Amino acid sequence: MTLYSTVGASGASTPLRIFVAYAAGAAAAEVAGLAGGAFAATIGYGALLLVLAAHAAMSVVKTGPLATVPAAAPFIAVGVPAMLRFSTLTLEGSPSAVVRHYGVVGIPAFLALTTAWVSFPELRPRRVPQVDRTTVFIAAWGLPVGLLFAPAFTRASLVPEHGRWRSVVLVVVILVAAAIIEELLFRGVVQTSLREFVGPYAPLVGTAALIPAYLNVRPVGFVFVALFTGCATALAVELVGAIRGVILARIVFLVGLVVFWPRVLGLP
Amino acid sequence: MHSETSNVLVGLGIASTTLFFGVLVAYALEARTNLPPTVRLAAGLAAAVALAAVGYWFVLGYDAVA
Repeated sequence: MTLYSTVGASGASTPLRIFVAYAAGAAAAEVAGLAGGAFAATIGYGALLLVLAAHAAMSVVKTGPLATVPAAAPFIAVGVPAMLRFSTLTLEGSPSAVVRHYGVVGIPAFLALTTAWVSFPELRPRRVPQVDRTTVFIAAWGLPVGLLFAPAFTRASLVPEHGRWRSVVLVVVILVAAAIIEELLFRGVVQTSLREFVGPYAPLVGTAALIPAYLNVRPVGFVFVALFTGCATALAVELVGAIRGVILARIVFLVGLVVFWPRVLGLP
Repeated sequence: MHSETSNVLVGLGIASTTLFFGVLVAYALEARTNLPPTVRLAAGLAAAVALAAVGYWFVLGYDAVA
């Protein structure tokens, strides 16, 4: 099947209305969280995901009251960010360290990426045959941007010390989860699916959808790092049309933030 | 948090995320196989249950590792 295959059957505006309804549900869960705490937000997101997944399940088996209502595109565009937010809400009883956040969110993000990749070829990022100057230019920006944020962190706040080799493993976990899985999932799959609904605003909406998944990560400054790098990489993907440069930039950025700049600047 | 309330939350979390991933896998099976729709969804849900078990093992085991 294709992601928007049911658009013609139900009218062009129907998928947009479905998308807006589910996005409003996610916004309501966040408002409930602000008013009633994480417990209320968890209930809201859990209910939203149950309804959305049940809707999509009906479209798979082609029976039930919502079987003919388009589900696949809203399921990816709203469901994936909501599921990651839900993971951080239910699996974390307290503010979590960056590395644990990526461990907890990385597994569902990886599955969401691989299944969406297999299911909907139209969401895969465009392949570029060779590394060109633009790719190198974007990738190189990761290092100076890392310098902006390095003084705000200690190495232990990003990757706790558990011995040399275990720390190396934790750095690799962050690199794979943040630089590869997260970029492919959000700048590739989610941003592309959002483009169908919000057009040129897809980078901003996609970044806004990602930020709630970071809200209980500590140190707090990492939320701003996620917001800044998310906006920058989303816009770069939109402008260039390819994703390899921002993945490399994210790797350079994280290696600089965790390994390079602390040593150069003599940070703790 | 009251334990009964906490159990409700855990149940809601397991149900919604399992159904979510089950549907994702069912979509993938639809793209790659000719299985009947009900079989696709059942296979997806079975895979999601297995993944949930691995995920909870990881989460519960993290503190012991770290």
